[in-house]
Amino acid sequence: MRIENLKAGYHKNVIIQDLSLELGKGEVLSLIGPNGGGKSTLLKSISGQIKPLGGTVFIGKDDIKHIPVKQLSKRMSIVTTERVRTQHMTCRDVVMAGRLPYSDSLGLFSKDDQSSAGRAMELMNIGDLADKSYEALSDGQKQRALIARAICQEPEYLIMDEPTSYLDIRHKLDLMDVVKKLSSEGVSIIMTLHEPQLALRISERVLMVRQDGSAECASPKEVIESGMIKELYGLTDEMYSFISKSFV
Amino acid sequence: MQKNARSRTVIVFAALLFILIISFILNLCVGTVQVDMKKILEIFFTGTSDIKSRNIIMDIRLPRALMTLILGGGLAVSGFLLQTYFANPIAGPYILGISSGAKMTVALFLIFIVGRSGKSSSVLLVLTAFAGSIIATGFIILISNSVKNMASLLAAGIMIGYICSSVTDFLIAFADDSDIVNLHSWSQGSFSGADMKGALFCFFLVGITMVLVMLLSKSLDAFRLGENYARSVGVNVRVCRVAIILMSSILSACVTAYAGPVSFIGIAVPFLMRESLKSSKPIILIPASFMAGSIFCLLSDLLARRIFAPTELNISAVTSLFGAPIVIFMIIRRHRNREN
Repeated sequence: MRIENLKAGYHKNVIIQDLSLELGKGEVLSLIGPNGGGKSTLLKSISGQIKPLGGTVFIGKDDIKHIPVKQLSKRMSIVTTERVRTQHMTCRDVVMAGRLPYSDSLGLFSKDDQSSAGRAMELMNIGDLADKSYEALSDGQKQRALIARAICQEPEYLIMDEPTSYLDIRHKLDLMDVVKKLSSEGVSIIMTLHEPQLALRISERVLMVRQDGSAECASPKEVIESGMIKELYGLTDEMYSFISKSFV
Repeated sequence: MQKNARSRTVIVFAALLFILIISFILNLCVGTVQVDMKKILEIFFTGTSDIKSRNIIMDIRLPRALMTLILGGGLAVSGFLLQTYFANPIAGPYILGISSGAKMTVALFLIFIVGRSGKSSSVLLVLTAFAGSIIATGFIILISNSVKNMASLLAAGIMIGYICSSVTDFLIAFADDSDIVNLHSWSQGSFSGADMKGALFCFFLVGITMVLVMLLSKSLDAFRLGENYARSVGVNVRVCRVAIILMSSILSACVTAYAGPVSFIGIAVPFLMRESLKSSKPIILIPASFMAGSIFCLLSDLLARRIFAPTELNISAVTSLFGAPIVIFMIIRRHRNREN
C-alpha cells in the first residue's frame, strides 16, 4: 500500500495535511496521538470510509478509488469504533458476516466459510460464545467478535480503529499476539491505539498524529530514544518517567 | 445449536405452509353461502352443475383470496425492507405515512383523471400509487437524514400520513358525488373489489418484485451490521439503498392501489417472524414474512367479512386490532432489553 499526499478531514475542513508513506506486506503500523488529533479520521480516509480531501491511496498499482467494492472487500477489512446494534444475531452470525464477500449470490455460506469463521473465533478466544446472542455479550466480547469478523474476511490489509477498546489487559495482550501472527502470515495491519506502550512493542513503525494535524512516522526505537511520546501527548516529566518504564 | 436453528426453521416453514393452505381454503369456503371442500374440488377439477356456487367461487371468492394472499405477503415484505433501510424494526409503509401518500395520489387520479375521462387501468392505478409512495418515502428519507432518532422519525412519518390524509379529505370535499362513491369504498381499505384480472396483474408484479428482493438478500444480510460494514464486505451501498426503496414502494403501492391502506401488517409480521425463527437472516426472513403476511391478511379479511355479516368491516380495522397490540408489546420489550 502506498499513500501519497493524503489530506484527510470532514467537509473541506482539513485535519491531516499531506501524508505520504508506504506500507510493506505484513507490516504493522500503529497510529498514536492525543484524543481529537485526527487518528480515526486519517484511518477512515485510508480505508475509504470517508472520501480523502486530496491525495491518493494505492493498493498495489491501483488507486483505491477505482477498485470495485466487491474486489476491495476481499483485500481489505475494517474494525470500526461504532457500536453495532443487532437483532437476533448470534456471535457466530456476526463473525460470519465477514465471509459475505466469499458467499454465493444469495449470501449462503459454504463449509470453507464455516471453518474459516470457526478459526477466527478460536483465535479471538470466543469459540465457546459462538451460539450466544450478540446483544447478550459484554462489550469486550463484542469487540473480539468484530475483530474475528474482520479476520475471517481474510484480507491483505486489516484496518482497525481502537481495537483494544473495551478489552481487559489480558485480552489486549492476546490481541497483540494475534496481530503478530497475522503479520507473520503476510497481513498488513494499520490500527489506532491509545496505549503507546503496546504500539511501540508491536509495530514496525508508529505514526504520531499531533493535535495540529501534522503526522510523523518513526520506528519504535527512534520514538523511545528521542522521547517523542512526551511531546506528542504533552506529558510532564513525572508522567513520562512513569509510563516510559514500560517501553523497554 | 446450529442444528437446532435449522430444525426450528424447518418447523416454522412447515407450520406457515400448513396454516396458509388452511386459511386459503377457509376463505374460499366460508361466506354467506357456505361451499364445502368437496364442491370446491369439483368446481376446480371436474366441473359442477351447481352454477351458483361455481360463480361465487370463481368470480368472487377465488380472486379475492388470491389478491389477499399476494398483497398481504407483499405488504409484510415491504415493511421488512423499510426496517432494513431505516435500521429500525418499527418502520413500515403504514406508520411512516407511505400508504397515505399513495392514497393521496390515487385519490387525485380517481377524481381528476378517471372522474373526467371515465377511463382507468390497473397499470395506471398502480403507477399513481407508486408515485405517491415514492414522494412520501422521499420526504421520510429527507427527514431521516437530519434526525437520527427513531422516535422522531416515526413522529415525522405519522405527521406526513396526516398531511396526506387531510389533502385527500380536501379533495373528497370538493369532488363530485359520483367520484366519491368510487373513492370512498376504496379508501376504506378492503379487498372486496378484487377480480381475476387484477389478481393476475398483482401476481406478476409482486412475483417479479419478490424475485428481485430475494436476489438482494445478500446485500440486505450485510446491512444487518450497519452501512460501514456492509460497504466493507462489498455492497454498493448507494445502489442497494435505492433498490430497497424502489421495491418496498412497488409492493406497498400495489396494496394501496387495490385495497387502500392496510395497517400494521408491515411491522407486526416481520417482528413475529424474527421472534419465531430467532433469526434476522434475510434469506429465510423474506419468504417467512411473505407467507405470514398472507396468512395474517387472509384471516383478517375473513373476519372483516364475517364478524358483522352481511356488513363488511374495512380490513384495517381488523389488522389494527391484532397488529397494534403486537407493536406495543414490541416497543415495551425493546425498551426493557435496552435497560438491561
